[in-house]
Amino acid sequence: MIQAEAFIDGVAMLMDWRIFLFIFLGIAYGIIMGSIPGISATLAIGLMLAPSMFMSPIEAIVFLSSVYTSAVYAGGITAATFNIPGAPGAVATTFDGYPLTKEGKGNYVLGISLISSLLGVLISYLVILFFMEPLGRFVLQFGPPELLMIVLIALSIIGLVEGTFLKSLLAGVFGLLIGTIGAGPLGAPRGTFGFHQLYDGIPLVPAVIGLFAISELFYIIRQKTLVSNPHSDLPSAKGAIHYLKEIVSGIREGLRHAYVTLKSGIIGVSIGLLPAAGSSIASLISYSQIKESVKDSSKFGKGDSRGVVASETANNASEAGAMATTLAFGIPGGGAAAVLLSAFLMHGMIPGPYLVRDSMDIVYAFILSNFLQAIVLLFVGIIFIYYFARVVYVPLRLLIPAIVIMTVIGTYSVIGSMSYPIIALVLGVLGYVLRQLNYPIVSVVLGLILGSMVESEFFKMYRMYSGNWGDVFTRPIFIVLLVSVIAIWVYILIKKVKGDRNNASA
Amino acid sequence: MKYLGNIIFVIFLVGFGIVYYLEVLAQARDFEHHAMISIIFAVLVLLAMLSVISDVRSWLKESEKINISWSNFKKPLVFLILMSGYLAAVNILGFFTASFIFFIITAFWLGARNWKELILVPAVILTLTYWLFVVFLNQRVISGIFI
Repeated sequence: MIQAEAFIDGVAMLMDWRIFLFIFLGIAYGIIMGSIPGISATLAIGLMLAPSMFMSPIEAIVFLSSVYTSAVYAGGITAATFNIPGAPGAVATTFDGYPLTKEGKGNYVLGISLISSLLGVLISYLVILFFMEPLGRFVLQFGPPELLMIVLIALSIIGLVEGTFLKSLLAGVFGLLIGTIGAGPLGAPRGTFGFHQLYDGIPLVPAVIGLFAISELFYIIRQKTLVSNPHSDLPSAKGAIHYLKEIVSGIREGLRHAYVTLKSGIIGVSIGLLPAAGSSIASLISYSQIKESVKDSSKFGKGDSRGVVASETANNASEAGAMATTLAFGIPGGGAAAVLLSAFLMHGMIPGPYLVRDSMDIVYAFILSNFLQAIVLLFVGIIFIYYFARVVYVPLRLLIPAIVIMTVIGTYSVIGSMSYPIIALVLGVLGYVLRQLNYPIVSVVLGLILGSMVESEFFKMYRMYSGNWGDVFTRPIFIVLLVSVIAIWVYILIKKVKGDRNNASA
Repeated sequence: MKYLGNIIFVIFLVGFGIVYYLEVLAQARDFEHHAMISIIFAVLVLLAMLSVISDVRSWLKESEKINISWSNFKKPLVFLILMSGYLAAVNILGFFTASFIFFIITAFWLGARNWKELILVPAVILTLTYWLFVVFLNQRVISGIFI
């Protein structure tokens, strides 16, 4: 499965000190960019496209790929520290990461997140190294019916979040409804209430920042600091060594859950392979699958380290999946992969079957560079965490206005319009009301992410099979996924009904 | 307050859903153009009804008294006013000026009294923000009368 000669050529391509320098620079730049709310991996890579023209093709690809790897990882840093997912793929990291931070375990949780991201990258690129072609061919059999089923599996997390089942479902369905706002299947806008800014739907970046971060600010405004007992954990009180020990203990904790890591890595890379699925679906499916498969899931949602491992491993692993479809077929698996695809094109390489046939050495060099990136990420990540985690000890009287300013400039910079910060504020108020009434915000966000996908995949499926609905059952992958969807939802319903009965009898 | 608040919120959700659904129906020519939204809307209405029934039943059982305490909403409301004012001022004064003023007012309101916290901290944060977004990333920031 590995072409030995091309593999050796690929290794040789990386044996240059400049490659290591660009990996280091890319990782450092990506972490800083990714940890700023509103700046996505796509934007971080996009901003470096022009400078990369002055590099050799392999240097440029390795540099931009390093930005991609570290920016995806950094989305989880703000998710765990401030409940602000740096990207939609880090939404699931907030479930357990933020509660751990509030307990004063900020370093610990960032250590878990770092090692999980690193292992996610390693596992996924290892899978891609050996199985890129067969996996890609398999994934190309996925059409609208299969993608619709994948979305319905991702929606199952609505039934798994903490709180009242009815409220979670209601919030999820409301999310789905507002997720369909904007241009419909025919291109005509709906539900925009005259605001042309909503033509492409409710934008995800300000929505996620508003619902998670701004609504959180309304809550923490009554506190003095973010962590519950700041004095016991002040770095100055315990010293730098203790601080580093906490990060290392988080790394050890992440390494302890080999099963969770492996399973999440495989889920991540599999979902990442699907064009248009993306890291948010990968991490949410991984989180729900891990929560359901472990023996004691009572701490999930309240600060279980396995939740962080599941989310962070999967969203980083999905990156490799997206890159595999991009390299093997020229089909970008997501926004950031699309920008990387354009980087390949700018340097005279055309991703797709011809690249795999004629320039497999470059493909191998790209894959192998990701192993190097993972190692560099570990060291750069520890240094970054060491300084970044101190932010939670800053008094909220300074942190709150600073966060507001960063979210405003971050959301504004996405398209250069004030409509984004305004959308973030409006949804922040909605998020606050939802929290006050005990509705899980994640259900709304999940619906919002998946709403337009549900509609468009259903529309395509309807067009394909209208009048011949029996034909859809000739697709074996669809049948397997349909059975899985039914099984998951029946299982959730039975579990919830049982749980409600037990609560009532107690 | 929790049951009544929830009932009002659910009515708001359904109200929004009705307005949106009618707009979709007005545009859609064929069934497939509104099929998925029809399904989602139907489920929303069903779940909303179940939620209201459940809340009314619980309300009657517990005979909850409506007790709205101003102190619970005071800080979030003031914060909302501050943020709304900030977003309005950004377009008039420019991002950096409005942010500087917003930082000082919010930090003072939250208890900061030291001049270093009120002047130095926002100055450092905004200088770094300027360097990152304007100089390094070459992004256009919101401009007004000032920068």
